[in-house]
Amino acid sequence: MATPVFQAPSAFGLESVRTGEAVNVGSVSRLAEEISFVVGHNLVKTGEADAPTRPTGMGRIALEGLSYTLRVPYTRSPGARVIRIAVEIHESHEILSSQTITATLPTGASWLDAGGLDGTINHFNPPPGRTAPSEIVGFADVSAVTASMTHEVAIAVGASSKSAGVRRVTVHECPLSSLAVSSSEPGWDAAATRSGRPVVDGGSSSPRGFQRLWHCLDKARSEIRQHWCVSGVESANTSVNPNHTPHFNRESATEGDVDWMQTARVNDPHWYLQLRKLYTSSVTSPWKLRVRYRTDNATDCELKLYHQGGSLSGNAFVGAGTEGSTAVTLTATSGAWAWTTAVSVALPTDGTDGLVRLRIQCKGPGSGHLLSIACVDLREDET
Amino acid sequence: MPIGQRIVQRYIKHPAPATGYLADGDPLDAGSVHIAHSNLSHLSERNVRLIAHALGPGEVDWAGAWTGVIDETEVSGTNDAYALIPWYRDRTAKMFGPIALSMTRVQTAPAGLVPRKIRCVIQGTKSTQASTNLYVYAVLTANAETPITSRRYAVATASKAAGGSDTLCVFDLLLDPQPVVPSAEWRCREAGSGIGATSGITPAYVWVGWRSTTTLGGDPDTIESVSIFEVW
Repeated sequence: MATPVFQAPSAFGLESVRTGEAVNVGSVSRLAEEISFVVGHNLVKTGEADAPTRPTGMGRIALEGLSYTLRVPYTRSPGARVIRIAVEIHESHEILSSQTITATLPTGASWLDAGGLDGTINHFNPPPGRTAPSEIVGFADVSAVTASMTHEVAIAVGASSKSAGVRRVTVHECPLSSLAVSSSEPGWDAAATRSGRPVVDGGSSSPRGFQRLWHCLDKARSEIRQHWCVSGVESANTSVNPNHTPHFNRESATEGDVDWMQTARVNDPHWYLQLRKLYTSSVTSPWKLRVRYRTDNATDCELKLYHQGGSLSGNAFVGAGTEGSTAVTLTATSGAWAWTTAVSVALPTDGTDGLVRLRIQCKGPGSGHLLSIACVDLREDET
Repeated sequence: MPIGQRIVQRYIKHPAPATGYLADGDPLDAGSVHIAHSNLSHLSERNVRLIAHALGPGEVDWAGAWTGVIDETEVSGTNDAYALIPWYRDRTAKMFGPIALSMTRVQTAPAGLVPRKIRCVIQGTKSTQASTNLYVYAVLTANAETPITSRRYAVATASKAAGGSDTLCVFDLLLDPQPVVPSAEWRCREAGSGIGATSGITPAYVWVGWRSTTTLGGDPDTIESVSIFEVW
């Protein structure tokens, strides 16, 4: 019989476990129940790729008729069996505006129900003026996917002359209803905690036993990862004019703001997140940073991620310590899109409840040339 | 006490499996059990998820906010602050999700599962245009319809009035949902394995919206970034 996955943690009191008294069945079965919540129900929602229409004017390349790809970085959690991929398409003034949508799944994944995200269906764009979203949803089996830090779900728009393209992509691991009693799933056999059963040693190769709990706890600690990304359009358009390109970009070779395709913004965008903060405030949180980018010439560029712990008060961020940064070299690609190799990032945990502020600066290739950015991928890498 | 008790508010690393610790026949000591319970409670609380991080549109084009919207109608004089904007993306809103809500506890009065809180941090800049305000909204909805028509699990709003200069504003909105019940089935496993292939979950969508009372031709307000994440 499978171990049921609980949908909430329990308010367990430590006073029920006392030195010199027998460990009662209730307290041991709570361990099996709660580990199922952590590794079976509380699964990952990845970041989202967002592609709003480009700012108009000055010859900006529009998304209409453009073939492009949106990327959502994804590392499988230990208990995940299925991911839900949802795609929204843009509205269009054009009659018969349509495009195919082809999802490239992580290595080892296969469709349970592609829902038209396998490139076999022409999806027609809805008329403008609708506030209600219309999702296209597919479910993919990821049970054979390894927990690679370079996996992703890539959504490619097969454009036609009238296609309006994809607006948004979101990926979510589906919470489980039960965990198999198997060493390959990170649960602890609930039946093994019944009264009268001996508590055996167990471990990573056995679904029961107390050492199995150490194994499951380690997985829940180090392999349930927070995913952070800012993801936008990647296309074959080769414009090096920052006022025309459809990509996030930086031209100047001095460090500065990225053109994030916003209209007349005043301040550079900052993002905020709350870390898991598993340990004390002196222990930083380990992450890996990768960038999907393109340079149009042979000049190396750079992306720098700034990070600072702190708190929010009175509509303002108050830093706890000094702002740190991590740079990643964007080796020249002369027109090809590429991922950087991952670099390690130590995010500070000294913010209130683990709050961290992020901002991104870049060095471009210089006048007349362009650094284009499709995705900034930051994934927790607890060991 | 929504989360189980902890010895300390941190994870306590323990021996790896297969190191000989707690072998068959060993007594199970209370200290080890305390650590296991404490670690589990800690992970149940701390394994919060990041939901979405996105860019704002920049300038808020409020003068034309309702123009061309065909499935919502502006109701003048409404007392519902969350019906003052059409939630038309990306002009006045953004939407993220769905997220399968993760719970902090079960309760009985009223009955339901209590979801984690969700924090929405919206960075904008309030312009100098005199006597104007920038309002931001966040709503957790039960389905993908706008907050005007969908059931709302939680709402939050904030605003900033014009000052003497452009003012950077980091609006901090906390969505604290009421108890919910599972309302959808998602596929969770390949069929034929003899184990449940669907799971009952409570999906929810996070909407953030904005409204500016600046007028056309004046100094506009801007929305620059949106950060959505669970908190403990």
